[in-house]
Amino acid sequence: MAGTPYPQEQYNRIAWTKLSDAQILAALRPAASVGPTGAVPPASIFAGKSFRIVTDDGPVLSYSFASVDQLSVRENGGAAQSCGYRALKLDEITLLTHLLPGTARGYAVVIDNHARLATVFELWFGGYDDKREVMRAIYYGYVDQPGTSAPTGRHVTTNRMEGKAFHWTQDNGIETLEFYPTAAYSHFVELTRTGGELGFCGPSDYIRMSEEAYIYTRTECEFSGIFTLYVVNLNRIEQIGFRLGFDKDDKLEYYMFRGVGEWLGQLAQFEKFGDVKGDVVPPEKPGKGARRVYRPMKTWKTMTRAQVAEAARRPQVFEGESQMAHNGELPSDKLVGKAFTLRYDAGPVMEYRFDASDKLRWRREGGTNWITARYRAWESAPGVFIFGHLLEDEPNHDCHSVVIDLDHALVTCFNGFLNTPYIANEAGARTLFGVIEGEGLVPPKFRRHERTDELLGRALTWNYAPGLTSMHLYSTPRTVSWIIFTDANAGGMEWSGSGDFVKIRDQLYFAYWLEEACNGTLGTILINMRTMHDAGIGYHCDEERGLSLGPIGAHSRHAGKFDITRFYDIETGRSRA
Amino acid sequence: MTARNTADRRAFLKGGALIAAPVAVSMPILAQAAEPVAESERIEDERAIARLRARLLSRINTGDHAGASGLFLDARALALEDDLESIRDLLESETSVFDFRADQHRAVMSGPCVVGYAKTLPQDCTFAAMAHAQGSGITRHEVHRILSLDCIRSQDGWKIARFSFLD
Repeated sequence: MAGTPYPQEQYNRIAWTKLSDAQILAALRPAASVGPTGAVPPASIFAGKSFRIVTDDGPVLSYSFASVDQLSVRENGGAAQSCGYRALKLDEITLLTHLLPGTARGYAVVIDNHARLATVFELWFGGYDDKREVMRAIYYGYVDQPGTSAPTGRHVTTNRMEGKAFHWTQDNGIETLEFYPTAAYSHFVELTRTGGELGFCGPSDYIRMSEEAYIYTRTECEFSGIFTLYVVNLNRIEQIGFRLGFDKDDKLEYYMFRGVGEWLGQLAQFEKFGDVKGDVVPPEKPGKGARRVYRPMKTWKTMTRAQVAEAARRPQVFEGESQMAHNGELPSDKLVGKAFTLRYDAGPVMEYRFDASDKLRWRREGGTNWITARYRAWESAPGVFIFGHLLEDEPNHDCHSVVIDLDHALVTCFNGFLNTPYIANEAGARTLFGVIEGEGLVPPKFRRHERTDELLGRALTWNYAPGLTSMHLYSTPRTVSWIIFTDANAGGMEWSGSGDFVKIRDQLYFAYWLEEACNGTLGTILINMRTMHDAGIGYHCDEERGLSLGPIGAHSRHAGKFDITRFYDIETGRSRA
Repeated sequence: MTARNTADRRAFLKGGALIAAPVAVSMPILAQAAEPVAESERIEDERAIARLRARLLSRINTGDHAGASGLFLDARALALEDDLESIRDLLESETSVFDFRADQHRAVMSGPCVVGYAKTLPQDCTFAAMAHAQGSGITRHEVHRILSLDCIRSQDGWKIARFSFLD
């Protein structure tokens, strides 16, 4: 039975095939011959024409177009190479793309016919360890017109796309949500391809052609390596573009598309007024196509279950200073002397005695032995506390990060654990709902804290310490994406993982993010949108520090909210929520 | 203790000792005004110490700590705070103070400056690691401070004996 194509594994879990040069060349050969495919027949834009593209620091490309889908091109005056191509037009802008026969290379050329400016993207496979990752080098130039002087302007990198997001529907039926919360990365949710459960991030280029027309690229680094490029007209909310790369089945995708979009909103920018600079994360070293790419699995040291067990023998629980909590509030001692039972639905029943501001005892209901644990608690709103501790007797070295509302006798716990099916020192999390039993507390029988979509689409900045500021973007009901600001406060690198969101009270939310396939941390935070402050607990295991539980506390700013809730309605061809 | 020049030192140097002398009218410098040769030597000493300070800051700011240490009587005496990145002189815009010992072989020069600090974020969390990955990860701030140099006249000219901030 056909249904929403939820993937068996999300992008960050797929064991992407390490394609060889030979495999890539074999797949590209027919594509070079016929050009990219498309949902509509190729348009007669260039047929019978010839022109020359001159770039400042790159190639000179001399094109002759034999038909609507065949061209010949000479690079820097070299031999003519014939290949298939396609072109699309959006107002004054034309995009054409082709591969070079017998190579793992190709080009995309974006031409502003009115200004006679052109931007050339040289594309190739095999430039990185993972050869399936499409590389790109960008050259700015113009269309040469004999007898006419070269235009002096050029397309430029920019941050003017930063903060925008669109729902795109391509002419092949593919729907995506695409967010541009940084000037160096972007975040995308594949609604059609994977059911939109999680969003993912990729390094991106943003190039200004005019105040309404921009070139956008994205490379799905660390995943498929697929490259997407499109020109977007912001006023018309239309796009023309193409996609090149190998999918999860190692099948070549090379097609052009035309799309229409919906504007989803605009986030605040945090650069100085007047700063519209692009290229906000310049490459570490110059070089063809050089760029900085966040590759967490290249730096993170994974551990075995045995190593994790060893690390858990000497846990660090709320020890020392944490830069993640430099701007945090002081812990509360108001739980000292209290005793209560947290009864989780379909979960454990935990009895607590709070002996000091940093020491509690716990046991499971019916147990005889109390276990002493180090903890910290913060009161984020009157009567609402977040506290957390390790469960040292658990085989997976669990932690409980708990929010209790003593006014309503309700509790929610993010139960972190290690030894996930993927990586031993990567955290997983379960969300437990329940009630609080204790002296003076009458818990509700049916009412519980509940998951919420009130944070969905929001972006909140978090300033943890001087120089350490992130922005969360809650892009799906289960995704947290995080953006790191540059020194100029432009959005820089971005990554994402799964998360969960629970409403505690109005404007008070309990959320977590999981750094899946990326350092393995479970971050749990109680977000108070009235004080714009959070209090939270991070759970982490690595070789250097072992198993640790540490505080999180940051000042927040509201950067905006995208209107995306409707895209996550449960809807099928047969019924609608 | 001897001469103190707390006023407009540039005017003093440009206009000459007699013109500038009134600003220090209550100080023993009056006695020195009657000894033009000694005053001239003192001005030369001030200039030499100012040059020494300028060289010191230049070497610190270019990261030439070995060179900076060479300006000290004891090369081990240069102890910079770990996150100190630069010291920008404010002598052009504000006042400096010279305190000469009676023997004229020791002097303390103090004056305003802007100290730049650069702290590298420890990479103990994902966000800090990402900041470093994108070429950030260093926080900078500046503080206005008073830099004091204890100087000693040696056979090789003036040397720094002690380097400190007065605030």
